[in-house]
Amino acid sequence: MQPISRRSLFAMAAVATPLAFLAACGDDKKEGASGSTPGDTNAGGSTPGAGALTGTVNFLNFTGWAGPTTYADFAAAFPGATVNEIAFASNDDTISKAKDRAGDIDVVLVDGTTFPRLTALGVLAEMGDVPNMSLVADQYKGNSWDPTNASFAPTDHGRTGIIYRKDLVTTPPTSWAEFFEMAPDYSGKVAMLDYQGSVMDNVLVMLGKPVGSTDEADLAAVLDVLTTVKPHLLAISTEVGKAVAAGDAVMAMCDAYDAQLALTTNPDVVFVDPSEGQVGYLEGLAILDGPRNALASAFVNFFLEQANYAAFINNVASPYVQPDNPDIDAALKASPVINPSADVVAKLSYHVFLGEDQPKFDAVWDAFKAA
Amino acid sequence: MTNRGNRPHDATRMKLGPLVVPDWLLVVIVCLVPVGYMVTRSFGRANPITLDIELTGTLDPYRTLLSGIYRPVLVRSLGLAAITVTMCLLIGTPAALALSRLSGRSRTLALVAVMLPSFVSFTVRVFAWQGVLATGGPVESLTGAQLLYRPPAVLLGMITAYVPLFILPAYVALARVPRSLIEAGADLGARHWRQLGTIVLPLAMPGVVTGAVVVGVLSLGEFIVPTVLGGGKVLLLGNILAERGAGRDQPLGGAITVFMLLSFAAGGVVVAIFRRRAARHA
Amino acid sequence: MRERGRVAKAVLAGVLVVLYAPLVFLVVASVNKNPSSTDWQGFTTQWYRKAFDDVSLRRSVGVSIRLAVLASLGAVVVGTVAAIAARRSRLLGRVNGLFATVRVATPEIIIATGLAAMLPVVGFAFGFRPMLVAHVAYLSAYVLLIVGARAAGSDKNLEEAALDLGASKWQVLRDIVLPDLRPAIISSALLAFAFSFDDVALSLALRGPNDTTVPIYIFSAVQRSVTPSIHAVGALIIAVGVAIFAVATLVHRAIVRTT
Repeated sequence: MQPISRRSLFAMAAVATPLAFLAACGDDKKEGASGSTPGDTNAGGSTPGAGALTGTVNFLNFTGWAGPTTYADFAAAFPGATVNEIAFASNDDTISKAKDRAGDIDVVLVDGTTFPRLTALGVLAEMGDVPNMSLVADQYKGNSWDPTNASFAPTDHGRTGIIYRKDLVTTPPTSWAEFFEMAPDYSGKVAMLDYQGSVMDNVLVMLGKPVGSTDEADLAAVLDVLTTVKPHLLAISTEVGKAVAAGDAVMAMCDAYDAQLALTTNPDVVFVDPSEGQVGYLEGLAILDGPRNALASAFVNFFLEQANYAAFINNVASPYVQPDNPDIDAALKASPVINPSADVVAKLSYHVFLGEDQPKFDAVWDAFKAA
Repeated sequence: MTNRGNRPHDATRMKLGPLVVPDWLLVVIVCLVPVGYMVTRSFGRANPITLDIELTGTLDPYRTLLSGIYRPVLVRSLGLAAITVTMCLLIGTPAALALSRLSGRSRTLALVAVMLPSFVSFTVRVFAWQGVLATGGPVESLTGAQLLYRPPAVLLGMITAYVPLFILPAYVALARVPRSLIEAGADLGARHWRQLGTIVLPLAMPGVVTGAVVVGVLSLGEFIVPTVLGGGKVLLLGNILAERGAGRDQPLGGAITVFMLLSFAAGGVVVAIFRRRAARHA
Repeated sequence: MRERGRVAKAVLAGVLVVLYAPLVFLVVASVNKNPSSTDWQGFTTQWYRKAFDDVSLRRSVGVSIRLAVLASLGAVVVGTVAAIAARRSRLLGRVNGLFATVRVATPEIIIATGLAAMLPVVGFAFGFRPMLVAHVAYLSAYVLLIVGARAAGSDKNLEEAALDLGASKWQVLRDIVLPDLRPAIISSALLAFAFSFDDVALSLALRGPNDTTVPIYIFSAVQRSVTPSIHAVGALIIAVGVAIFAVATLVHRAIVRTT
């Protein structure tokens, strides 16, 4: 029997403990960089006045949802300023971050469902001078959640439509009604977007009911449509474009930018704007009240500047809000997916937050998922 | 030499009691407190605007779970767990029996064969079924059945995932039945099945039941299998907890946590009953 | 004697087939030119090359290994120490057993969700450290059970004799108790490592943005339309599992031989 010598025992403990802590601590730097601390380079005494244009803009955004060099260019244009991108995780996460850390986050990517909640929380600031707002087309301004665009600067939009494989479908669907009627014929090969707003609001459009309705009868009708189609669904997921491009699904409810990706992967994929109309999202930038309001406004203005905005759109290939911007790729402008026609836009409405009634709306989606 | 029998209990000589403190501290702080936290959240609701959980003493989350929107999820979870346990018993017990009857090298080899998959990552084992059950896969070619992303696929995944977990304790319990008892039964002319029913199984029952109970309680909380094989369409209690239980759905998550704790307690009672019965018969 | 048991043997064989068939299928698919189809389209190692080239996969392997090593170390220390403490005390043993059972026999997900819900409230950030602490707290249960079982069966007489002869508590611990427990300690360490490596619930709930582990990587990859190299990744994981099992068996045999 080999007794463990006391020396080796203590040696092991001595090595293991600091090793453990060192190893565990080694990640703190990474944790910091991912946004748990504000990177205010002006820390140390004097807070910059609202007029100083230096410091770090903490920007809560989808990872990479900007131009390839936007942040670097901003730092170059505003010496002493940098941009720290904080990864967007979910709408709920955005709200809780804004609630707990307003002051740590300066600019947020929002849409019609998150903006009203931030307003209700009272964490928004009015944007300062943003002359490039004039580059945004009027049809994307003056929304219900901020009619004067005092705090909301639109940057991109999207809409849900139908994608299908023209080689695998006998009669192409041209409306939501046809999509749901045809589902049983392609049972097991229909994919649905895992986003309640996109799905439910478009079902309301199909039924001719008001978007965002929380009327009991309307919601019951929506639930009925959804539970009827559920057995025929391949999956409810965020990757419907890929599924259709790969042929696992022959048609799907899909967002425009995802459809665009699928189109480029597989030329047999077709995107359709259903005839009844569509509901989509309108995204934009908002400023949370804090010590860097002026710098944040400057960033928003910079983002909307013609060249920077075009770099952004060309990078992410999303439908855009500056139709007259000459620097946007011709290919994107020519795509009906990215650049919808006027009649499509006329029948387009956006998701909004439903206030105290939102849980009623959510309940339908939960019931659909639970069924 | 003093009479050892009169010595004070040697616990006082090797007094190491305080050494449990690190483990107990961790258990309480890291495991018990968070679970208790969830239980308290179950009596609240989420403010629609701020998403804060307000503890209003409401029983709504329980209502939606037991009779409301989430009732289908509860029923489905219970049903799948019940079928999984049943199949484990039906399939796993004979398999464990066969294992216990092997001897020497073949027993070692068979044990290795049964245990080895448990060392392969659970997620990969479940994912492997995706390929087998997919359209165009072997199951569909042979039987024409499109199983993937439907409850049958989830069920199949769960059974195959949990069977090894059942077979091991069942085998240990069955292997413990002394050979002499079995042989005595044979000598006395008892037929094979009668032997099984009156000697082997009753003696092994506590271990087998423990295995079944553990499978049952754990499968109630399963979320990997329905996510990978269910395509987002098969929602189980575990999914709700994993996907939404920590955010705005804490009240519902809390209610589900309470339900799982109660199942654990119920399982413990079942195991205790069988243990006591076995002790009485011994 | 030969006739009976045929049914049971058949069932056992069936179980083994059902357990291994999907894994075999996966390995075969991983070298198929088109892993998503069932037709054999030619042998290729390109998916393995892609898997090795995948930076985020490599990073997650690093995260997983670091987490598993530290977690199993911590769990072994905490669990062994608690098992030793409870050897002679029925009360301590009962509480240990209860705590261990609660952790092992309830779904991990309730602990994971509770922790995820509480973390922001108590002001901690998600990340590697919460993951590690949670792993240690959870896995020490397995160490407790395994080492505790061995400790319960240990021979008190040797310790008694040593104490009578004037040995100190620590000497007895170091020279008698711990070596006696060594096989159990090592097997529980390997088990803790394997479980930590494979853990999804706790890691998924507590991770930060840079802390993807291998199971999480696979878990999120398989929820999307499958990328072909995922089969190669799966096959590699199978190999890792087999390797850990082989190591465990060899170590176990080596330990048993020296005691």
